[in-house]
Amino acid sequence: MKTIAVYSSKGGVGKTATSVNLAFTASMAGERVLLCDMDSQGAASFYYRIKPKKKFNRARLLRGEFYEFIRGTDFPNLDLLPAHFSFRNLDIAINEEKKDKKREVLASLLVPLADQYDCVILDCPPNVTVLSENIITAADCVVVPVVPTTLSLLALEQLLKLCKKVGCKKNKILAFFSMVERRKLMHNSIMKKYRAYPIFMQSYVPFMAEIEKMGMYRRPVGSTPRKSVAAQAYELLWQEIRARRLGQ
Amino acid sequence: MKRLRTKMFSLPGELGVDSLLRGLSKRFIVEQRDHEVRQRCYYDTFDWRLHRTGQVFFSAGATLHLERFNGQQVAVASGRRKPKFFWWDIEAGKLNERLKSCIDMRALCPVVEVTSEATQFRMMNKDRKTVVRFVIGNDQLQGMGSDVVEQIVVCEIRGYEREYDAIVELCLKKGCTELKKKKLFERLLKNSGRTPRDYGAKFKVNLDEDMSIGTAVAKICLHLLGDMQKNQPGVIADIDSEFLHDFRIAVRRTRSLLSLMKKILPREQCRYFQGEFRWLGSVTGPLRDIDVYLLEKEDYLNLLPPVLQDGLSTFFEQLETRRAGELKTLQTRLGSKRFGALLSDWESFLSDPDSELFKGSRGQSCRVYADTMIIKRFRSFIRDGNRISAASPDEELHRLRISGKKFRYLLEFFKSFYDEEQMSLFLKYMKKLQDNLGAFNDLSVQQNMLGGELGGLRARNLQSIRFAAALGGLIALLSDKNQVVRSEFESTYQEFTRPEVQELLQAMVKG
Repeated sequence: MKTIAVYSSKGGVGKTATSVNLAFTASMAGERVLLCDMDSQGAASFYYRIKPKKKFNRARLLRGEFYEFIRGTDFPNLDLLPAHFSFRNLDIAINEEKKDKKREVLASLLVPLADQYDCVILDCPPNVTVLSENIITAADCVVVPVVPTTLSLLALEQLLKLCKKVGCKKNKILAFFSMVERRKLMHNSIMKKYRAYPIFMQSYVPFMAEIEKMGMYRRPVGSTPRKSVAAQAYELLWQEIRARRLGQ
Repeated sequence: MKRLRTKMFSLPGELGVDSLLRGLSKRFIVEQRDHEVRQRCYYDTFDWRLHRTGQVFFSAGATLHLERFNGQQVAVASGRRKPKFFWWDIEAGKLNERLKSCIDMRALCPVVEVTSEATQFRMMNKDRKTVVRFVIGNDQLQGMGSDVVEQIVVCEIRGYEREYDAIVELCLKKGCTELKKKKLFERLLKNSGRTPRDYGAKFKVNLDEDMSIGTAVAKICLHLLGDMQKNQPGVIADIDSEFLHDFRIAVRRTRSLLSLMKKILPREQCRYFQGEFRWLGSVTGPLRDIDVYLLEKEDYLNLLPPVLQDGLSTFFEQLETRRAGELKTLQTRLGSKRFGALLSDWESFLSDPDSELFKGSRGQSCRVYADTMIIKRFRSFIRDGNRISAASPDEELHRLRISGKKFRYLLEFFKSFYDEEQMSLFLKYMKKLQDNLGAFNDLSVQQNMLGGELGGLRARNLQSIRFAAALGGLIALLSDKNQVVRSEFESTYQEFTRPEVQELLQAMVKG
């Protein structure tokens, strides 16, 4: 089982859209996928029209009693662990754990899922807390959407620092340009400058109304019978992640 | 985590689909999806390796599926139907890995072709989230218009157990009867004229206690002849390497039986058939030898360090070319008058009531004869084995291997006479020793063959030098392995000759 975290400390860079669409693409390729919605806003759960069961909450998650709360999406091979409002304090709860275990809480929760899934995708909230440290520790690969703007690049730099702090290898991190608008000079020049760095993938996801409309239609972009440009972009992105970090 | 449930129902004649859907729409938002007509082609290996493990493999449109009998998906990959599939023909991924472990080097060939019509329905909650998958469809065998199997399939979605239970309950209430997927698949197979597991490589013939020697020999040999005839088309069509392998095993078993029983069989016929089956063994040998090397290609390459691996590629390319030539020769031999005459002579010798086989001393009880033979062969095997010491030449081990093989075949021919548990335990002990002897033989043969290749080489160019280096590396590695296997012989043999193993055989024969 491979764990992929979609993470950035900056909000609005397309983390949820990436998680939702990567999970769908991976499942269509025959992988058994679990998408974990770690963000208390529950956007990924919303996109898949899934509500958490009433008994589910943060405490049960941390006790490892969450398997019965995993729900199937409308698509074969793709399950989702919905977010719960109580996840907003997930970092505080993890912080209360013993010091030596603090960074491995999430990783140890995922271990028993190895028989059931080939791939776990974590949709992470935008912050830099002990939860972020957990996410980096648990993931085999951290996928970072970067909008070609200065602030978004700063967030990537911050993540690299965090990686160093928690003692994780930098090569876990794979960035890609997200919400790219080719008509903007700044986007073009930033991409030109940074795409050659090995941390960046060659695939990028353009800014598209179709991705924004996911909120209206509540389904991944690839689920329509005709393959759209956006769906193709996520497919290429998934293939590159597989080739570069998952050894497939 | 709980396994997801799937149930199949047959629709009672008087209940219309509309009425059932009306019932469902009281609780769910029912949405009809596309109506699909798909050709499904089911595959299995010739020896039913998937059926034996409770699985089905089929192509449907642009995808390939591996499912359990209960309809649960094991793996899926993209790919269209083909006349045959090896595991390596399927894109890297879970399906490819699963098939590798289940079917190994065997090819998946079409077993039955079905036209499936299916209308998918989504049962949705008020958020328009699908909570249960519901399919109404039918399967129709290709070219058999009359046999249409109507069915409803209800599939659970994780986390929506109550909704699934509600739909199953409604179906039962409306008079639907549950169908088992395995039974449905078997019904399709039956209508197609195939019987699951009608062939397997394991030897199994049931003999009666009071059977005469002639009748028992005829029964065993007709079974082996059947195996040859079943595998012959696969050998000629070159479907996979195991058709020839199994064909050769049947020939070897037949030869072994003829040799074991030569004293009691009519001398003239026995000599004729021994000669002809020896010929059959020799004409099928060269192709099998090449197949063994090709099947172990990966292992050979992995034995060598990367710097030497390149040199072997020429060797395998040459083997492929040589194989094509050997296959042609074998196809001619199996189409020859000599082969045809052998099979028909053999069949009439075994089944003609006036055959010499059923006359004279061959009328005595087979059980008594088998008991004596088993004890005699075992003693002679132990005698040969005891003579072997660390200083004995390799040939003695090879002779022991052949004598052991004959002995094991003898046990297998007559195993229905004896206690099943005792027999399988004894064969298990025997196998351990034979594995050691077999490994020793394989390594020696491989070294000789590679040495022969090396001897015939002329260092004309860089490629031949690389090839020579690779061969040298391999021979050295195989020789090391051979030494290890040889050094293990003594302890393996000692274990086999423990008093309790001998007592087990005595007890088994005495019954």
